[in-house]
Amino acid sequence: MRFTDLPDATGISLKPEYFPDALALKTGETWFEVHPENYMIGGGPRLEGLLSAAERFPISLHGVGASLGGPGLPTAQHIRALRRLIDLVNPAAVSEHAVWSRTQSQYFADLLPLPRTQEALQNLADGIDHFQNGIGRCILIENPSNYLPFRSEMDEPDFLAEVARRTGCGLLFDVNNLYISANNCGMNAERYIESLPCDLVSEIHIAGHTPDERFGEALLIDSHAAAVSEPVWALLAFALKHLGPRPVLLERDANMPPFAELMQEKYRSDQLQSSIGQKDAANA
Amino acid sequence: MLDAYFRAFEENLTTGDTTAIAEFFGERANPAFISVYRNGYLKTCTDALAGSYPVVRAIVGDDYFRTLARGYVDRHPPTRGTLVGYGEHLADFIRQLEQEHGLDYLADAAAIDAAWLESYFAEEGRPLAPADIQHMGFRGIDVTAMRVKLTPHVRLVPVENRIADTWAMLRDHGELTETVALSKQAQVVMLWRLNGHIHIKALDDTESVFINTLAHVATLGDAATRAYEVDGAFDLAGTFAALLQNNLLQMEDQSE
Repeated sequence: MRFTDLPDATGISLKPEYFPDALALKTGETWFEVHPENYMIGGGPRLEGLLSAAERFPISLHGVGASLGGPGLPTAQHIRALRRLIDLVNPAAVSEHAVWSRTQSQYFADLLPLPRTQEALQNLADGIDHFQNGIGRCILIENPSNYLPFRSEMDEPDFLAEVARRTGCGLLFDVNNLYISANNCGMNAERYIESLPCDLVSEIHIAGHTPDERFGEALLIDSHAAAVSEPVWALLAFALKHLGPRPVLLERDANMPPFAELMQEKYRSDQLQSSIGQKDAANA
Repeated sequence: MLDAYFRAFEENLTTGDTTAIAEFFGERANPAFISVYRNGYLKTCTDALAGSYPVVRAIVGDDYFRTLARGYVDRHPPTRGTLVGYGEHLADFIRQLEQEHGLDYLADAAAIDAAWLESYFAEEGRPLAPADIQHMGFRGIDVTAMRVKLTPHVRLVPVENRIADTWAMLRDHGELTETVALSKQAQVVMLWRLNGHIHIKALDDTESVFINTLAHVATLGDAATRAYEVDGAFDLAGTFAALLQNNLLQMEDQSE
């Protein structure tokens, strides 16, 4: 089952400073992802840039602020603002994270982990249900980056798959997040990928990470502030072989490189997808 | 159990205390790694404020700005699911700390920084064009009886110091490119968006009365009457034309 209208090719994070370069690309050369929270605004050049891009390229709205698994349901204000943006952009995909980020009174501007318990699972499912009903469409939810393990009753792939089954949402598999979780918490990355339900995974993310200033390589941070690392490329190849062709997003949110440099990474991902697709076809 | 987890995590994020959250750590957890969440939260909020208040940052420098921002996050943590527009109370917060930093114009700079951002992200509205007015004239409509208001991207900022030019220089260059003299004199600064760029102008007393009247929805005739009470030589035609050329006016009944 497809949960998105994104092409099985590599898209990139679209930032306002990239608007001129991005809009100069040929139609269909890529697709773009934005964080909707940065565009829940009345108007102005930033929103106009996104709407111009949406006229020619598929857009993915990848949320970071809904707090789907938090105490209390996603707020009506947030859902209303997102729905307005969805109406304007007509995105090919809408996604969020299997995390929490706010209490009733405070927003922590971070993707905070949930304990993988039955109670947290149902709470997350309730949040996703409310969110999907509010925006009027299915979403994908993304596996978190884990910095340390919390007391849990089940593995992460089982937790996410069960949430998807209860809510009808799809899954977004972030390879970099898994690499970080494996490094920081001792998860087995390949076994994790083999446990993912192929029919539910509708999008893949790759990104760069950075070692923590204090703990070094023992604690990798999901910074999106560097190029994709070689081990993450290898894990992406493994995932594509297991899952088959999927839309892949190259994320970059900080320490922004020149646009051409980002496009080189995108072409590498396209090439990887293409070579794996050809091998699969030859083996069929 | 889940409520207790959220409360424990919140306590750690806001105070750094790990006692309660440690109860939820898994067997192989390195307890020290929990600090990454609080550090990340504070850094993200501080970075967001630095991006939204570039002139305040340029005036006080990175170190004091970080101190200021940390204090602000503790006092006014973000509440909405986005950091766009976060910092709406920063000008008041800075004013309350005036004895500490000793810069009586810093709150003014913060208020203008905030207005810049609001104007940048505001709706365009449906501005009246000079041709619209001309057309009304041809149709015999009394333009002075029209009820008009300012377009959504206009911001009027009352400040206590003559700081508009200094603010603009710091916003454009990140530093002062020439010597400036600040003086204590209340005025109103107007910001607006035209062709994607934000413009700033310190209004004189008469302009201020005229435009402030329109800000609360009025006829042009009412606004002009009040302006003439301040200055009998007020240039109504020139001011009105400038407002139209800069997309600052729209009809009262036109939605935003």
